Amino acid sequence: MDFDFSEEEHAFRKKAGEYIAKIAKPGVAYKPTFNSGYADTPDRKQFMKDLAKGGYLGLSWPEEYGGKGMDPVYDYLLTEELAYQGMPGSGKGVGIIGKTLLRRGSKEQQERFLPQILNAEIDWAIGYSEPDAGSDLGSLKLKAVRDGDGWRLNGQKRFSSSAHFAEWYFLMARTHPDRPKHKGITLFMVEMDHPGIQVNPMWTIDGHRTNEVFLDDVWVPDSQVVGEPGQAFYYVAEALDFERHVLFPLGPIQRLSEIFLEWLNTATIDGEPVRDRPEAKRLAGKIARGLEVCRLQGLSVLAADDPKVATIRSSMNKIAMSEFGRALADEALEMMGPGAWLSDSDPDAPAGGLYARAQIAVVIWIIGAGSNEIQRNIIARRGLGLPV
Amino acid sequence: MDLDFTEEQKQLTQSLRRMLGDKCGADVVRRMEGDEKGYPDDLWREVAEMGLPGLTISEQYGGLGLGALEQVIAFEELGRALAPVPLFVSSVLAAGLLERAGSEAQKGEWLPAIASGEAVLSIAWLEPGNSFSEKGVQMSAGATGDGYRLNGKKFMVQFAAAADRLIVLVRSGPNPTDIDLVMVDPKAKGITLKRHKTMVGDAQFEVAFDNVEVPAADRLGAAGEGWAHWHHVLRTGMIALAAWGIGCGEGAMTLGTDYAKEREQFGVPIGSFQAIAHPFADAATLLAGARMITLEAAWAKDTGRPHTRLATMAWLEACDASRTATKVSQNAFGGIGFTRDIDIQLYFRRARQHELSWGNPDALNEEVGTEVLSELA
Repeated sequence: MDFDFSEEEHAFRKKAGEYIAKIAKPGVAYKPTFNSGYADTPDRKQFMKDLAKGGYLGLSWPEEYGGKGMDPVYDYLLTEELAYQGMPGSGKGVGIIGKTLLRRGSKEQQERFLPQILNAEIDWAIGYSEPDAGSDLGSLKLKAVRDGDGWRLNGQKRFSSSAHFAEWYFLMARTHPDRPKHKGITLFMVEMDHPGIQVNPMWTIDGHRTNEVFLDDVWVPDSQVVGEPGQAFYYVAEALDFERHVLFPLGPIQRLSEIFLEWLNTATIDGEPVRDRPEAKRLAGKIARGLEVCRLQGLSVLAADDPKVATIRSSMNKIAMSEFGRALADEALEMMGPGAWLSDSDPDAPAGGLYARAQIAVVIWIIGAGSNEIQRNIIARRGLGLPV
Repeated sequence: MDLDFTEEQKQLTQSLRRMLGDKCGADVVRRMEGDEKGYPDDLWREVAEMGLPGLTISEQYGGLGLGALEQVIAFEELGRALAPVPLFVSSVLAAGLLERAGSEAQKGEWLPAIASGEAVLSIAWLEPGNSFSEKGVQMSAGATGDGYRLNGKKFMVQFAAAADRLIVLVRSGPNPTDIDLVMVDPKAKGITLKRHKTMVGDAQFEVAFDNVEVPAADRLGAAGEGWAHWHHVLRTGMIALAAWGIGCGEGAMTLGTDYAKEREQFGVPIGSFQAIAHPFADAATLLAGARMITLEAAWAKDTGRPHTRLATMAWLEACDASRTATKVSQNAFGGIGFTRDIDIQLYFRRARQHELSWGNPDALNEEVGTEVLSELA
């Protein structure tokens, strides 16, 4: 057993960290960030291009497709470093979309899209959720009807982050309403500037934009169908298996913890150092422990060779991190006392107002990417064998 | 990074689980509740044959010289079986103190006997009305020129009736850490044992000292260094304690989830209700995290890295996890779980007592936090 990374791995993270700090511009990072990847700024696009130029995209892709053929541990290290510095993740492109195209895409699709993904020339939006298909994603209804050498799509998507600036849409639609619900769904790639697509903003409570997307008679050729029609649900699950170790990086919570500990260590209330209070020391101890346990939950996902084990570990990791994040925000704000509710846009806010923001942002940590209730179902069913 | 056990370590788990499955069923656990000695000789023999009492004792003193990772494996399995054996006090605490502070003569006399399981040593630390901290050690050790004269009371002394020696923490002066460690035969003149009745019925005793003479040669380590040795050995020992708690939690989860799959109400297995399943999922998550940090602490110790803070954190995390796991499992049994016949209560009661026995969570969190903040300053 060895809980440490190798020298090469440490060196990689250090080098990646220095490179990221060098190419980062102020418009890219939001301090310890929450969803900075969704920012529609020229700086962010440039950052991704520079990241590609440095050779940091497609680390674990096979070499024949322009990747580096490296162990997934390097994806993990890069993701952690990006998250720690508050940068956008390396993206849906090299992640679930690229990995799906590598396994399931046609030769033509691979030749067309993979180089553009590797060079960060295109941004993607993902269209899975719908108004009536959240946790029960398999019940999605967006209709795709056979029409000539393609499909005609009609319906509505929700929570398509980046859809207002992405070039391409990666979405699931129901092509076979007569089949069992999980077996009648197909993956499509659609140009976001298609005239039948309308993108409306949905503003989140932590100040970001996500979108609802309406598709009105959007015709998509067969050449833009990914893999076999009807197999989308399986492909999406398969892609997740390859990405579990980078789904929920520790970085943001790590930075938040460090910033709070720094505040605890230096702040005074009523003229007395907060750090001298027994409850402040206890909280510091709990934070150090909670953070370490979260880090180890993440490592367990990375270390799991069996995809079944990785699935359960990933659900545990997501619950552990998001619940720790919420507890951290709860307790930090209570410790800060008067003024704790000043937002991060107020220069007088304690600890930069990050906690007032975190308190709100944790809602999406708990709910997003499979709510914690769904994760508990997965652990209970697949990990414990309960008939839930 | 490699989070797998070696083949040898996996075999240790398997053979221990097999042996405990054979020799330490719930009937054994139940029979030992209220037993004067507190552990069955035949089980202790089996445990000794597998080398557990000498697992981490160095080879020169007859032990196997294995590491903290193997210790985690052993204690996790003992916890899963709720095995009533004096392994922790004798082989982790007493042997740890001897290895750390003992003279060559003391080591040579006691470590081989502990390693073989022939001798059992225990610790007399806590006192009625006092805390877990160094302030709690008030029993005076009156100096007699060439030794000590002990007067006062210790309590919560595990397996005292069966122990060959007790290592007693005694106060030698007014400063908080004026504490010495002395070895005493519990059968010596002036010592009276009184059996406690604990919530799990294990063998714990009040030990009263009435003018008990102890020669200076029976002190472990230098005068005034007792608390430092004890603190270090107990913090390191928290790796084993954490592993035991995790094993106990895992054992309870097996009983609880098995029952939830079988027991039907409203025409379906109760495990199909999220109100039952989700608390199990949270407990499993806590146990998995606690297990990782416990293994990390063990790895840190085995590779010579700083480990006492990790060990303390592992213990605190394991307490949360085992308390939650046993509580959730107990709860799943509903009304029938409130009866003595059902085994889940054995886990529920032991997890709670275990968690209360080795330190105050507030004080331990504060200890960790103080270190964390001092590193920032």
